[in-house]
Amino acid sequence: MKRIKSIVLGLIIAGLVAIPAYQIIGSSNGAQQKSTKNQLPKITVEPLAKTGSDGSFSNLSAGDIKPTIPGKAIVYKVKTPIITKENVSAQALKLGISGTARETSVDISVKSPTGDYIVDKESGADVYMTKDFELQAFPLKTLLSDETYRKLATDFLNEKGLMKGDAVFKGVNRGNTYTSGDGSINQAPFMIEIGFSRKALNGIEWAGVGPRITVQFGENGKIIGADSVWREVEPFKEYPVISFSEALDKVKAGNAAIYNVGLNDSGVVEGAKLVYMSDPVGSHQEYVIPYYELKGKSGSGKSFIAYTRAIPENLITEAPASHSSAPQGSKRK
Amino acid sequence: MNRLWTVKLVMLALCLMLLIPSSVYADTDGSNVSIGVEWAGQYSGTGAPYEGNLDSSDEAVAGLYDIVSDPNTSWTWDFNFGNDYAWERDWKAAGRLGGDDSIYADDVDLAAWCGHGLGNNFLFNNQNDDWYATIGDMDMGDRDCEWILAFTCHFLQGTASNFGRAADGVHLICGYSTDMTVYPNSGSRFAYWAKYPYGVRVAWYRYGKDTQQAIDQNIARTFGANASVNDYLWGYGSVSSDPPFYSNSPGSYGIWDTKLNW
Repeated sequence: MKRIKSIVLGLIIAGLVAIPAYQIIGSSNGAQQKSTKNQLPKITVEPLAKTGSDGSFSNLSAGDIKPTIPGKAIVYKVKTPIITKENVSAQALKLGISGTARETSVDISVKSPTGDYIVDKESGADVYMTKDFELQAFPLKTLLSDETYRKLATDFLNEKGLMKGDAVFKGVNRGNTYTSGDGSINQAPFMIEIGFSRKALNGIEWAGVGPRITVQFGENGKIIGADSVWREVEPFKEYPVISFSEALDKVKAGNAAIYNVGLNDSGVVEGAKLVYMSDPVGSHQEYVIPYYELKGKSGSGKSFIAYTRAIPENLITEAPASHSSAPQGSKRK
Repeated sequence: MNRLWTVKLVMLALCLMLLIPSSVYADTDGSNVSIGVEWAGQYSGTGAPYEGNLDSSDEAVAGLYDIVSDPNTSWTWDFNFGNDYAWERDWKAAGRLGGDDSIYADDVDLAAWCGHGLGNNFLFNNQNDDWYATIGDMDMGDRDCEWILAFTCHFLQGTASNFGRAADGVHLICGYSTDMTVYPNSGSRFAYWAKYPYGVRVAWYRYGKDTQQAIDQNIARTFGANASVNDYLWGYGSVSSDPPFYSNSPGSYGIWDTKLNW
């Protein structure tokens, strides 16, 4: 009997000790979570873009791949570009465009009869367009080799001060083509483009509209235009990255931008990696965050691509991109 | 004497009126220049064949209002119908098929659509008269329309024989032969470049480069008359004469593809 009393007493004492200890541990964990949340503020991004073809998956599998995805990645903050009338005028002059710099709420530009140079104040994206660019619409008579176009573009960018230090050659675009309505001319290039992208950041490549530098060529290797989207960034904080299977679930749930997929299609992922996303020109991008890029084959055998955010959704705040509005109308009939 | 002075003053006023450039533009069809847009964003729950919502389609075309806001021209905003009020009938040929394009889509100079597109068509969220406005439904340009902007996927997929029959005098149809991404600032980016001013085809290319993802599937496509390829919007530069119908003169038409952000 005495032994039973001792056991009961022991259990009570153990319980009295254990419960507060558990509470302490629990509250400690909570504080840690709270502390983690405090250390990682929510990232403001634009809502996910949607494709116009309404592609979706009813069945999406990982196939045989087991991608190596880091558990954390750095989120970058976009630096505000320094755009002044003086530096726009100076750059325009290097391009052979002289005139008075004109400033609006969105850009600073110099216009001349031979061409224009325009810089977007929000993103720093710039466009150099000659009159030849505007009129270049029919097949080029003389096409040069890829190597020649690349050298001409590289020399031009270096000479005009438009090349960026961490730019890497991307490729030659012969996909700007003219096809006659009767089919007698089929996809003949009317303009050649040479592109450069930006070196990977900590091993993570870029996607979206940039970063890019493009040089456009008209007849016989003549440079008729150039443009760039190159937001400068600085490290903000390291954020956790969701797992590949979580990313797969998000894409299946439609929480992604999905290209080249039918309605309720099936798909097998053949490759997955993280990419940093560059937003459209004309939108305010505050942070550059990692996305999952999933590539694979759909049920119909087409190559698909899907992007979904790699940062946990509880660390994301969506802000509407813009607020264009226009009067409605009423039916006349 | 007084009467002579009055006549002189009237003559002077008339001369000044001729010398000062007018900001009012009328197209060759004799009407003031106008924009009409339709869009669909709410598909879910409507019974439409595809039910994924496209939340920013309204803003995408509303951005074209920036053209109307330009004090240097006199573009007017004719209509802006969305969701339940955007109808297939508004794009359907009036004479041949009994549609209403002669008072809506083909009664404006610049017509635009944003919503789902599943291959040479626009997908509406109601059946007035049909879910789909197809290429075969459209006879654009025989009334007024000079330019169409299709902020949708696959509207210009295939060859000219697939979509050329919609061109009955319309100068240029801008769209995609592939998937594309709908961004809220799509229309405003087009307007930005068209107002600069650059030609319609160039403005479409530049809007595409500004907004579309760097994936190799994205091809912005402009289809239209060779003679219209460098058209500006009314009031911003030269505009070609109305071209012959595609079906009568396919050789006078062309397709301009631009592979975006490859």
